[in-house]
Amino acid sequence: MSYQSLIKRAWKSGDFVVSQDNSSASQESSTVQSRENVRRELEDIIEREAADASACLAASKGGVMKLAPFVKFREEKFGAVLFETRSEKVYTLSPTGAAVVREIVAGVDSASLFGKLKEKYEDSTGNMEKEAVGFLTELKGKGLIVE
Amino acid sequence: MAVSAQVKEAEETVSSEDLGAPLYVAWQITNECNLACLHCIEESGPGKAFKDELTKDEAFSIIDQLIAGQVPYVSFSGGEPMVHPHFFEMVERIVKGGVGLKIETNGHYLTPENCRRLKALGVKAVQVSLDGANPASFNKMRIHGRFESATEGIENLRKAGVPIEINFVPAKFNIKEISDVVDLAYKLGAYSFYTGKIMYTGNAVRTWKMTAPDEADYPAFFDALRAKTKEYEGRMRVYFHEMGLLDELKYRLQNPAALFIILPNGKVKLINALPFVCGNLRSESLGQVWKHFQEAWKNPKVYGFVQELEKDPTVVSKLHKWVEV
Repeated sequence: MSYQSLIKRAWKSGDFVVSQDNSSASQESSTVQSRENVRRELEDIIEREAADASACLAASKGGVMKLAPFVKFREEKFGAVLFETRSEKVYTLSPTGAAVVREIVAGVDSASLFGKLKEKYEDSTGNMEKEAVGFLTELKGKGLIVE
Repeated sequence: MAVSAQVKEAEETVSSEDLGAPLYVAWQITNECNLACLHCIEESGPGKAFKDELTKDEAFSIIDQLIAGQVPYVSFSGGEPMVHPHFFEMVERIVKGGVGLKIETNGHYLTPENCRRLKALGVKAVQVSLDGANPASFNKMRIHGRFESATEGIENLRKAGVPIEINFVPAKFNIKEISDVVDLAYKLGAYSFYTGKIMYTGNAVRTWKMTAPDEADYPAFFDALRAKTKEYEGRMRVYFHEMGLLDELKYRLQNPAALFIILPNGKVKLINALPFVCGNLRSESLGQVWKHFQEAWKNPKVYGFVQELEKDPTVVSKLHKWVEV
């Protein structure tokens, strides 16, 4: 059958009108089935949310920063990129910005992050901690990391 | 060390040539589909799988390369990706490898069980096509499709906690429903809504008289979208592309996006709206294809095609006659 014939048949036959089953017996059985499905789904959701809540609480107690759930990090020659999958936005990071995010990905907590950075980079201006805080605030503001 | 102000939106600061691999890969995993939509850019439908589609091992090998290349985001589309015989195995492998995955589907296979499975596997988003606010227009556009099947599928995603995106293509008979469709998308739990002009390619070439909206209807369409963007600000993102295909391609010639399209047989296209193929992941590595991709955008044939499009908008009707560059 040609594509045009298929369209004509679908339109002419009213193929797009959904038939309804009015049988009361089947309706009753499907209602019971539907209730069971809804209950099972609710139980699943409660279980899943309880697990998510525990993970959030644990992270919050430890002051651990991590990439937001919809963010991916990839190192590049020029530094790195962060890809936010919900907005499909891409952010670029300079090499030092990439170094900060690398520590976050590695699971360093807020308290030891600045110490780690001082070990690796010379703090020539004495402003490194202040600048790093500003940078982290910017990342948080854009929803790229969470604590 | 100066770390402040070092996070910038990439569009302004980086070209795809600076990157070691694509940031986004749109993979049409099969051309087979349960529906035969009037506007389908891929001319998919029942029995329309390519004869030379990738085998499971070949698909897994590509997945492993995408993982090794740290491609952050991949979409599986089709055809209808959920009819692929190894769909869930492919989803599991790519997500476990750390790649963010989006599924683009017509929603007819989104049963409660499948939605729970997608959630458990960690899929980042599922985009469902909803070309109408009611069964009459939806089913007219999507031959063999059922509005209720799609909306039930979306409900199932919401119940399972899978992030939802909605895609809408305007046609002569649904363009005035745009506000209702946006409202419906929000009601169904979507976080994003996408739309743009219908394209004169694929099945739409044969159905243009039935599908193409009157150009005079587009200004009201985009006005409605602007109003809805404001109305749903902070609750649901409404994305729409007012730019015509020609303007988009002219822009892309100067700024190729860091993304490419994998066809069901492993060939790689520069962008969906161009017929140019720059490699084949069945026989070449991701690195080689990415290098060809950079070179292909500078090929005079690509520039020539865009120039030809300016004179004759119907040249896009031949997108499936692939040209190797």
